Amino acid sequence: MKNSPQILNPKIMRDLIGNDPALITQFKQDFVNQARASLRELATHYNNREFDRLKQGAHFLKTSAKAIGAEEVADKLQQLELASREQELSRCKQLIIQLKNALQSLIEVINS
Amino acid sequence: MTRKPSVASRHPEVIMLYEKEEDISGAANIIAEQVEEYRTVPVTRLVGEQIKEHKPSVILFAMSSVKLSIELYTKMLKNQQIAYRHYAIVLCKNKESALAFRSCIKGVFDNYFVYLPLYEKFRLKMIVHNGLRQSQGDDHYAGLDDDQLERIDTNLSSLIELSSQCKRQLLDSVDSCKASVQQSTEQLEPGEEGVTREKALVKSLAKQHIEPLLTQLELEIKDGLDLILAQLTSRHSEIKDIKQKVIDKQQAKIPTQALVSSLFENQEAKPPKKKILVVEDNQIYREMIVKVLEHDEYDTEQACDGLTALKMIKGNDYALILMDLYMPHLDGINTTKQLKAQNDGKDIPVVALTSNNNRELIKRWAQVGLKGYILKPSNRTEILQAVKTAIEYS
Repeated sequence: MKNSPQILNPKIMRDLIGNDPALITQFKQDFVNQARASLRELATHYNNREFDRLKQGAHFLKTSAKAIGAEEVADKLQQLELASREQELSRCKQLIIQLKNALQSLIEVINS
Repeated sequence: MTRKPSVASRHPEVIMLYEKEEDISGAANIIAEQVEEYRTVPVTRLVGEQIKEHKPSVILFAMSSVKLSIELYTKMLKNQQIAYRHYAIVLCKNKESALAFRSCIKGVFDNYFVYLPLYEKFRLKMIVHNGLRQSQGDDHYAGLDDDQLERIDTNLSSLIELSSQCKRQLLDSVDSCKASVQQSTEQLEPGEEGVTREKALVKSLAKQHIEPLLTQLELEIKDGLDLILAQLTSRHSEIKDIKQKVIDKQQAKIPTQALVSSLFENQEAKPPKKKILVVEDNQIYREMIVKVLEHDEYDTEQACDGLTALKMIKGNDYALILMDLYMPHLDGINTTKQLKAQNDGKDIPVVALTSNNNRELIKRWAQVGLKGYILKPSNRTEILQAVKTAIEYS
């Protein structure tokens, strides 16, 4: 059975770049900055009904979310990518809100 | 110069009629960027009179359904509120595109555009541009300035100019031929001495019209070819200069034999590090991959999209390229195809970075020449193993 996604799975980044705390902290902070900017762009694409751009934006951020182990954020982005491909307007809106909450939880975990 | 978007001109040449303001915001801004004399008008009881007053050359109908747009347009035509030369465009939702297409084929509207969702802003600009040109004619409509178009590569821009010039010349030649033939036909008179007279006329036609036209055509073709040749020669010479500069720079960087010997005295010679190009649009993931590779004694270089990668590949000797498949500007598959075409037959192995492990897709990637793939996010061991395998088997 597939495990439910974690807010932050630390093993993912350790297995990728090694156990260097300073580097790991730097990548986490870079991701938070990138995700905040991307989230604003996703909301704009949603408001303009630009589904193709919405899909591209979700795919883009999913790459780094998976790489730092932000599983819940990555999961929402994966769903958003699919919903925008199917042009499901209300589902996209719902997922953007969920994504915002997932990102907030991630920031709290990173800062704790 | 960038135009400030405006949707409320006092003397509009283009008018968009709408029901819901939130539906048209995207399309309205696109047209406002292009046309100064433009206005959006909500559909009220007075809309017909407003159209009659302003007489816009192009009218866009953005009602909530194609049916309502057809009804509104028909009503205006019946009431003689649009009784002049104009160009009518129906804006529709994606699901109604078949209906909009049909209404254009049947001659109701002149064109249609899917604005919900809004994908192709340049197509909308093209439709409005054609509408203005057709309804106002070339004498009145000045077209678009270069500063209203997106910036593109200078070479591409001059190629487009050249092509447009060739097309205009060709069309002018055709018009000139038609005019000559028409003139000659008018000179023909029916008579009893038909055959002899026709032969004489054909000879006269050939001498007076066809031969000069052929000469003119030859000259135009020659001029066109000369121009293209001149451009190619100039480009060739530029490339030669650049190559020479690169060689000079490389030679200047090469240290003397004595210096090399002194540096490596008492040291065992190490094989040179293999250089890998990492092509990925997500900066964070790109830097992570670079860290993994550099930690394992590879040299790396980075590119954020396919076009940049293609530029970097020229003049570099990469042992491997790690490439994201889903990127803006030029995706991984097309970059790989271009790479094979431009790299003088040298086969640099390309390994894909992807989130998709669909078997059919993987088969297709193999067909275009990808040597392997790394699923995102793989761990350090998996990445290094894929890299090693691809380099060893290439």
